Amino acid sequence: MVRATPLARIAWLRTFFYCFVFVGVLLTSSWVARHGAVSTDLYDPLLVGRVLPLPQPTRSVVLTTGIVLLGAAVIAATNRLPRLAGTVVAAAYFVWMVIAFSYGKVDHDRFAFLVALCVLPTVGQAHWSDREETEAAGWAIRSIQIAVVLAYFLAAFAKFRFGGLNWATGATLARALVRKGNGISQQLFEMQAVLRATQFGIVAFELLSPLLLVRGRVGYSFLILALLFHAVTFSTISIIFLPHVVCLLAFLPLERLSKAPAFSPRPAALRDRLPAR
Amino acid sequence: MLAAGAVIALAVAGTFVGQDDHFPFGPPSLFSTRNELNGRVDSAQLTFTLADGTVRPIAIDSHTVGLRRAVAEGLEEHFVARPQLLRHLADVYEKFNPSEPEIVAVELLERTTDLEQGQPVGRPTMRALAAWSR
Repeated sequence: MVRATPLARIAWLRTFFYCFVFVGVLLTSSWVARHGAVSTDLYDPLLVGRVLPLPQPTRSVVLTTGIVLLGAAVIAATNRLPRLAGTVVAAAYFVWMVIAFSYGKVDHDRFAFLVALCVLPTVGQAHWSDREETEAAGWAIRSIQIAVVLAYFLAAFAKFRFGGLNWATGATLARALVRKGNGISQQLFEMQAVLRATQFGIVAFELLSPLLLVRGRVGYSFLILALLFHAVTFSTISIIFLPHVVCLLAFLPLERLSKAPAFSPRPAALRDRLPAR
Repeated sequence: MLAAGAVIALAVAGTFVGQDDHFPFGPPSLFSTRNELNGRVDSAQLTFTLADGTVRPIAIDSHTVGLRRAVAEGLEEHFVARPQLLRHLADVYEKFNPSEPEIVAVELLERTTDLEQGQPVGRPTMRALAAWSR
């Protein structure tokens, strides 16, 4: 089930994921930091926040958490101290998520990203030009891929649970368009059949998502479908599950990026291959 | 492998019996509720009354009151039960906008749009949910 995979892929994933931590904290989810300005009277901690001895998210606690998270992410993104820095990122990001989701709403696009942050430190040293293939790298990448698929697949069953087996016949997309639609999407109200068909398509996509795990043409085709799905969702209702979308990188042969001259084998590795004098 | 199995089991269990409170193993329930084709769509709105008497509608956003609209909607029950909590939204707004007049009252409203066969019809209606004043 686990195939040995080049360590270079792990190195690239680390760079992309830990750089994305910056993007998330400072740009796309900067609203988390603004929770530090909100009174802790409105803080309603998640179960994990009630069980763990986490401090109330005052301005200084939020700021400190953010600094620790970004500081560790800088180091981890360069593939230095991958186990230590990666573990600190995983822990700090988890606390960051408790701060994010303890005010009455939980987002559902973080599961795969959290899994990624947990498994990436388990692989140890990796360089962007490392052509060595290890099962540890394969396991980490497969774990992220399975987490991505689980997020899609289980979403279908959440629809059946909360919306009924006839979820696809309802007006869920219409509701989303009323609340978050833009000028383009408002025209979709005139095409009710399209909205209904799209809802059936969403459930079909989610139930077929395990095809992402099939190697080769089938998996890549479904990956393209997933990207299209997110592009359409963003263009119509301005919602993009960005941390989850970033995890789709785990399906790509990122080690091929290392063919650029800047990523040629390290001098030490080259020395090892030259005949001894 | 044991840890991986446990994570998968928790994710599956969370989908079928969990709640958002069980993050990160809660159900992936975004857009999972079914809206009736002839139902209604609600969204929260806020108004601030300023010290000069102006009543200003405020977009609920982390840049204005520190919380996203969906988050404020998630706290609606709290605001209805304890309207004095609305003052915290005013406090954040004043923190972000120190040059603006003081906020003397906050009203949380529900904006309702009716649907007919999945299409919005008529004008949206507004209903007051909770109010606080100094």
